[in-house]
Amino acid sequence: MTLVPGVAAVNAVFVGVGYALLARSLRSRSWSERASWAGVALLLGAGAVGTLVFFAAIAGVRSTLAAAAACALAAAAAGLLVGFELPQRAARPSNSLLLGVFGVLAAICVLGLVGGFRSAPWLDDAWGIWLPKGLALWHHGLDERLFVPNGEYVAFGVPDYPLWWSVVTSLDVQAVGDLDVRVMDAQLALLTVAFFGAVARLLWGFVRPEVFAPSLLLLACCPELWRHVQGGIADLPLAIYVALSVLTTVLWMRSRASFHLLLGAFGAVVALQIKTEALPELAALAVVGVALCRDRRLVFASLAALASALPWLTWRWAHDVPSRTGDLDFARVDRIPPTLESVFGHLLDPTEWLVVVPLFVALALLARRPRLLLGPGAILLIVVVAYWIDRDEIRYVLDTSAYRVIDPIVLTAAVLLPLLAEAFLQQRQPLREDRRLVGEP
Amino acid sequence: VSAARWLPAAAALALALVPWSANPFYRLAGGDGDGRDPTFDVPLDPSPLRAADFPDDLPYITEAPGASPLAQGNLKAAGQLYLARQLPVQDRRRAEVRVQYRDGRVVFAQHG
Repeated sequence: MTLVPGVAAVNAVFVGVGYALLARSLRSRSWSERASWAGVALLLGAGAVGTLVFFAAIAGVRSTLAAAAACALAAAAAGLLVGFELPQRAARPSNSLLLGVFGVLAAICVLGLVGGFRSAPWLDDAWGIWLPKGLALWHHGLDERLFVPNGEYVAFGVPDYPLWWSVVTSLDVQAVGDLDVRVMDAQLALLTVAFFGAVARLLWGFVRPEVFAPSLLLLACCPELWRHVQGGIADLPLAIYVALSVLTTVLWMRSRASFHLLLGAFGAVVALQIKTEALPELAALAVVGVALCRDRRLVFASLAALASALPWLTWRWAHDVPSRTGDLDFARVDRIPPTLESVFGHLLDPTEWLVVVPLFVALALLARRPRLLLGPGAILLIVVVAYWIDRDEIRYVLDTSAYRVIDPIVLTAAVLLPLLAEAFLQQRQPLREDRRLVGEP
Repeated sequence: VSAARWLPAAAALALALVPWSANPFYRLAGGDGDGRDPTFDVPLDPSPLRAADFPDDLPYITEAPGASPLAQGNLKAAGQLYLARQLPVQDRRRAEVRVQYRDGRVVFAQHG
């Protein structure tokens, strides 16, 4: 197969697995409603298959297409056994301007997809570390000669990083049948478009379409989003699954639907298999979530999700994979000011993420929902602390990573933005009606 | 369906074609796409690596004497990318193939 059919085939399997996981829940729904869950299905399928193939690699199985097919079948079979009540709330786009907004959003997503399939990742970590690791998992499995620093073989850099992104892109290369680094951007573009579809689907009924559509359009217009797609950057899938987890957990706090809680835990599980920093970030988010709602179900779901980091941590421990956590320095507080300057510089730069973050903060305050600031705030705290206690030269690490490690902060703020806007507008509604009653304009 | 409904989408597409905008959309609308090989940080033609047909698990070493650390890093990464079936070793004496970088070209030297 060539690039497009190969990547499309892998993602068709992901979508199939995702729909199998949703099958019982969608049984009595119309075909158009089932189609609207495609974004959620892709994220579910990619997350489930990638995670299972990664766990199989830890157990000694090479990450081949055959192994992926077995994992896909297992996930689909498990999905056919469980069903959850989907929260159903009616909402209908109300005017042609709104349809235009959805049209522009769709057009940008199409352009983003085309751009993904036509570009090779500009970040050297993508083709120099992430993809080679995936190819090694295919040909050699999780072989300690390559995945643990030693004096004999040349091992990969950042050996402590989990391998979901390497596994998924390796499956793409295998399906394409030829080494083509564009699979990384193509896969990332598909995940990003699926993310837009998933967020719209999940917000449907909780937020008016005329509120969430412009919010999603704002994110879609961010130059940095598509630049990261074309970079093959692992921080972006991490951000997608962290944001999915946060959004569905916040929705669960309103709906108390098991589906939302499980999807929140699922997003966290996948995020934990993508990058090392997911563990402290999700632990911080779990603490915030439990402190906000004090519900035992969230405690159990968070602990179960965090436990999914254990297989990789155990493999690292068993094979003496070096970790930087033993080499941290809390004494150098002089690293904090440049960190804050750089991180906030990227978060607030309108040429990168437009006004997503400032608008999120302003709406949280205007809508009197400051507690929602704690979600992105918890991730921000982890990012700042990570730079503070790291030992590498501060200017170098900030210049080479600050622009991308903020992705989970931005995407989390972006998915909470529509909820805040809806809350703000609902608060204004009775105020307008009261004014009308007393004859004020 | 009103034509005005699709006006914003048409405007976005038109913007993508503005040649001086240098945005990602122009990159895909008006220029050639990237190829299947990485964009290396240094001049490096990976064709010999792509065409190499070495046995599985063959030990190899990458060498870029006199080249910048960036070139050495790119060659090492290219080896791990294209020679994924083989095994990179650190000791020159154990390598059965030496992958060498010479002025942007990749050449192979057999052991001995």
